[in-house]
Amino acid sequence: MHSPKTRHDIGFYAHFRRELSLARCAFDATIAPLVFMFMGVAVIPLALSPDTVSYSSIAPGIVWIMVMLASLMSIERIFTFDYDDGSLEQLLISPQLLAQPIFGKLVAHWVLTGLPMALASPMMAFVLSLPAEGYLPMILSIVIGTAYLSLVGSVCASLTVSLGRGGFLLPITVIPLYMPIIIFGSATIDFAVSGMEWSFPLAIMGTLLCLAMAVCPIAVATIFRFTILF
Amino acid sequence: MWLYRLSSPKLFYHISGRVIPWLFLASITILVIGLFWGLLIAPPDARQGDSFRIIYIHVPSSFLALAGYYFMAGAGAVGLVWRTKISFWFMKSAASIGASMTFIALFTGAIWGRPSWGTYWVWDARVTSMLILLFLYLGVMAMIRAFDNKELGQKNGAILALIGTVNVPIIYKSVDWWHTLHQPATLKLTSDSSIHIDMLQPLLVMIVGFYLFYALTICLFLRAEILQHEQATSWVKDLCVRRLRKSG
Amino acid sequence: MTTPSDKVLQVEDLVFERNGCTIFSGVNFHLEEGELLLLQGSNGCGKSTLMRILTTLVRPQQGRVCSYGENIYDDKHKYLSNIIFIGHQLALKLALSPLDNLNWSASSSRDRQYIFKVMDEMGLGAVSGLPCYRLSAGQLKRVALTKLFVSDAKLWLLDEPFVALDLSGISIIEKLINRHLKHNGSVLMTSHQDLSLSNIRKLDMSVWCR
Repeated sequence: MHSPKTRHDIGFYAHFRRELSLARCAFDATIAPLVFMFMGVAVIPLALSPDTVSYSSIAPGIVWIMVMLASLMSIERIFTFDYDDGSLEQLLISPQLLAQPIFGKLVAHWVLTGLPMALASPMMAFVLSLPAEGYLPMILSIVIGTAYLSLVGSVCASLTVSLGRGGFLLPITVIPLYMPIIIFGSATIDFAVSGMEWSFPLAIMGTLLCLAMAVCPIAVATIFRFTILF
Repeated sequence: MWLYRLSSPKLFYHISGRVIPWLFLASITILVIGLFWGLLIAPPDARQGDSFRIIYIHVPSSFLALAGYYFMAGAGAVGLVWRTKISFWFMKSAASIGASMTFIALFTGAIWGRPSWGTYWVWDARVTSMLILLFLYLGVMAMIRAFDNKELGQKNGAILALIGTVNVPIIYKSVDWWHTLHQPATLKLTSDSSIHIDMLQPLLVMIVGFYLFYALTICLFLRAEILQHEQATSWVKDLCVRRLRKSG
Repeated sequence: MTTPSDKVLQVEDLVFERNGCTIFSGVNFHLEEGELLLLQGSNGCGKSTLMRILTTLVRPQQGRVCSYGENIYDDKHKYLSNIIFIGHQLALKLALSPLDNLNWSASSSRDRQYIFKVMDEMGLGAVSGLPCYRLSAGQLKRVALTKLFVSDAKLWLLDEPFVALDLSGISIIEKLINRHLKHNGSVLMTSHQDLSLSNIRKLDMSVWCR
């Protein structure tokens, strides 16, 4: 018996490119998290009295909280569209490994949300008057950290996908899992500002990212195979 | 093999019905003995005086909060692998009870914190980890209840609990690291000093008592779950009819 | 006389429960090459669920499904590369054009020229470049069904393929099904419409339904 190949058999790269082309059509998926992030940063100084706080000392924390929230809001819908229009069930019954396309989607998600956040973060740091030594570690930590957030968030998003907009369920389940990255991410910037060796927390983030890359796509694929379409 | 047979809801219901009175008696007796011993007989702490006695609640509940998470996740894993319905119900019961235990541990910790640290809440590594554990419990509970399709909710809750077990050590280690980084010198805990044997004995009794109490509550929760999920089956209907006849 | 290993599908004693309620039980039927099987039954008797079991999306509680004598779960890859399933959800990206959508799900042996040709046949020639959100429900259904043209699958699983189609659309699909059957393909579908196809074997699901 012949085994027909469809074009999306190629898996990772094809799905990566497809996600990018779909996002070009819905451009606000990329810009909206950035705008959200900046608005959050703009609100925080208004809530604090400028006499008591020096912004530069709380800047690493604020930057990382806003990155986490923006990433959280964007990861929620990563599988929703595919679930609603039936693409996900077609993917499940296509004769191929599931983890590769999912990894492709996740990398695309990171390129569309995490990477822009990292590149735009110096503007946030600027308005929060972060010292100059903190800029490079901040960008690096956001590059690594958002990839981790996307990967781990996608596991919980795959559990809640059949709820449509799950409301508070995704944040409730995912924020505890985000905590290590928040700790090490803001510590990286903190260390750099206070003149300490900042490569240590960054290296731990890298380790966590490697673990997540190995585990999360397979976890998402398994969850889809076993629980989703009941 | 006997374990597999016990996974039949009907059999579990009948066996647990016989065990529960004994479990009740044993746990209450041991808890009363432990409390009496700990609160009245054990000597006061050299530095903290009588305020240390809250450990007889605080420590056992912290133990069960952490162990309960693994009981819950283990039950979820068993349910996912062997598709036994009762292990999902165990997981659901363990989630509620574990969350309560975590809350008790945090609450008693806060009360204890007032005399020993001078404040109810401190962002100490262990306190923070306990708080995150409570969040993990709440996440699992929310996940189990979020789905109209009960089986799907239980499966997803089990998966989330398993993801949590992978993350618990990572979270603990990172919180620990974070704490040593920011630890102010004024918050040195007294717990470095080893605990005196006279204080330890009632504590061990309380821990045993708490474990028995935990088993008791699990049984009670599980029986309620069984009745709720098996209400359509004939044996539950028979049971109801018999109860009604007995009460006239 | 055909042996079990010739049968495209052989369904044995299928039982499916949802939330403790039995939807159907004791389902037995088979499907041979070049055969069209029409599943009938009232709403809620599990037609769509049965379809999804045959796509491996849903697992039954009991029973087994064999294809050419092998359980479909034994070599899932082989089985899946031989089927195409079109259900209520069309799996079309509304932001993309019908051409892009079809290009995505087409078999790699089909080139762009061929896709253009079959879109003309389906009456979609004029809209092939428009984004899908500009299309009507019937046109979207036609786009989804064009996937049948561009796939190499031998077994078609069609859940209500005629919903939202107009008369000319229905006759195009019927012609398409006839051609597939002549080439020894097999079709399993559900429909409430009366079909003008001649060689239909009908299967009433209500006998298995609780």
